[in-house]
Amino acid sequence: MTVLHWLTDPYSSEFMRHALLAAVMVGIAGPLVGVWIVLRRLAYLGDAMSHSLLAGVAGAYLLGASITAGALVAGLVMAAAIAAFTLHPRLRADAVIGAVETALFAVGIILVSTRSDRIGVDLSAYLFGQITTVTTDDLRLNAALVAAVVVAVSWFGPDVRAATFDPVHARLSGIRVAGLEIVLLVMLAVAIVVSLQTVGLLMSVSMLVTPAATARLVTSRTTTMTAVAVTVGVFAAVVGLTASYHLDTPPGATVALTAAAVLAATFLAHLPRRAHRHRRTAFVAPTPAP
Amino acid sequence: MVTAERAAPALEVRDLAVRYGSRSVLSGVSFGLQRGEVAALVGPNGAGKSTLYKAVVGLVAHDGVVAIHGTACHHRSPRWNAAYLPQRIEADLDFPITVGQAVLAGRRRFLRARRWARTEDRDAVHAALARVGLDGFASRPIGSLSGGELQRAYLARALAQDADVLLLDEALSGVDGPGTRAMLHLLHDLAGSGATVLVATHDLALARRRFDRCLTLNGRLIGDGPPGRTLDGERLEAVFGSHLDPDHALEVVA
Repeated sequence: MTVLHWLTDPYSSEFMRHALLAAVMVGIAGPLVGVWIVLRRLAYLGDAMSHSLLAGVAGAYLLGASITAGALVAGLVMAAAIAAFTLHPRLRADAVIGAVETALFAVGIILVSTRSDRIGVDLSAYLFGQITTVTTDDLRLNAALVAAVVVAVSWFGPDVRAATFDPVHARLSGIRVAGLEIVLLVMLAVAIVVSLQTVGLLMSVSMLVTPAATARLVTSRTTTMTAVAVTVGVFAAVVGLTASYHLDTPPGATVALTAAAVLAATFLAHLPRRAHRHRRTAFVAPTPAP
Repeated sequence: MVTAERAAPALEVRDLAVRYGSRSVLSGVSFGLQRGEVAALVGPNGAGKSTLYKAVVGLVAHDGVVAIHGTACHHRSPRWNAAYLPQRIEADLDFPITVGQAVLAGRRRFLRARRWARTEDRDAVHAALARVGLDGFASRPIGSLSGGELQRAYLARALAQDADVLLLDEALSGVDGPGTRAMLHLLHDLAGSGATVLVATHDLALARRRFDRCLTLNGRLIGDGPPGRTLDGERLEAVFGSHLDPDHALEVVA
């Protein structure tokens, strides 16, 4: 089997073509937001946000409402709660994130427990992803959400960059730093919602953080970092989905593992260059005195 | 004819008071700096130097009046004409940003609804970098700069902002002798072009030798005038709470 056949064979069926489109969207939205999450050292926030969305997913399921809408509502609730609690000068962001995450996750667990007879199996699709069930309507909704993320990142990107690099100067420049934090939280919630069916809640953070961390290894510019992160995200999504078809492994986990493999390979590829630089420095330094 | 606005000081502070909770940090501080003036702000740790700067640029709430070029500033409103170089810049130096991009942040006031820099913004960045002697540094990562170069890059950001009131809070701390001399030369050069500069320093010897005017502060303004008058033994004792020899105070205070 040639590489071309290996890549194209899985997509002869419509449901796999839908799955591919959904995966590519995750590969775009996750890294776009993930770059800022990584640069602001908030990888933990991504993990916390994904857990907190369980309340929205479970609530929407019980009410018979849209799962995506439920997850979005939970994400917005988390964003609002974090923004409100961090107004108090004695509460630091990490403590607030931990408290709000566990509270919303607890709500999700309680909701699940009320109907554990039938909700458990269906919810696993959102916890671990079930990409092969993506419908045309799901794709349309996800495309709209990804477009919103692209617009938000393009519009707010320069201000987020300024506020991340030097928050005091950003404030003095007239940038509403607190407002940007809320925008970032909402974008994060949207990016995780986009990945619900593809990689699932529990592994959504992999498509946020891993491509961005990979990009950070190879560049010192935010714009280049964003481009590289999206490239890695789309690559991991496509290759991971294709590999899962051939290997008969869960698609979400395979996509997450592919992204991790790219990170590991990039890390290893950059080790020799560093070692070489150190060796060269060590060689040059002891110049004999005249 | 000289208009009232032209005659106004570049920076005027009147009856400024700042409280952190129930604790009064500054009270009754009044002074004015004329266009092109370079002055030192001297005081011990905890005297309120950083708080004074933060009040002037609107980072902390205050009572009293801060006026820039005769226009009174509202609390917490952006004060575009004043640039603040803090004692400890909280910038993330591991952040993947170039020197040019960092200086471009100073152009934010001109971008407004427009999000992207125009040629004139990029030209302003290059001109500001050239002014501080960092020509050719625009594409370097900010984390690769030395301490002195970093201070000059922040000064370039202030110049790109078109700020003509420059507030340097211990910005010369950690800069070596030649770096300090170069920075002071640059500040005086900028003052010659119309900038107004207030430099906070612990270094009494430096203040005495390199500044024509010194403001001494310890919760309130204690002295304001030439260093020979404001940094004499008796007044220093009032500022620092113990006797200091102004010519050899660097080692004692730093």
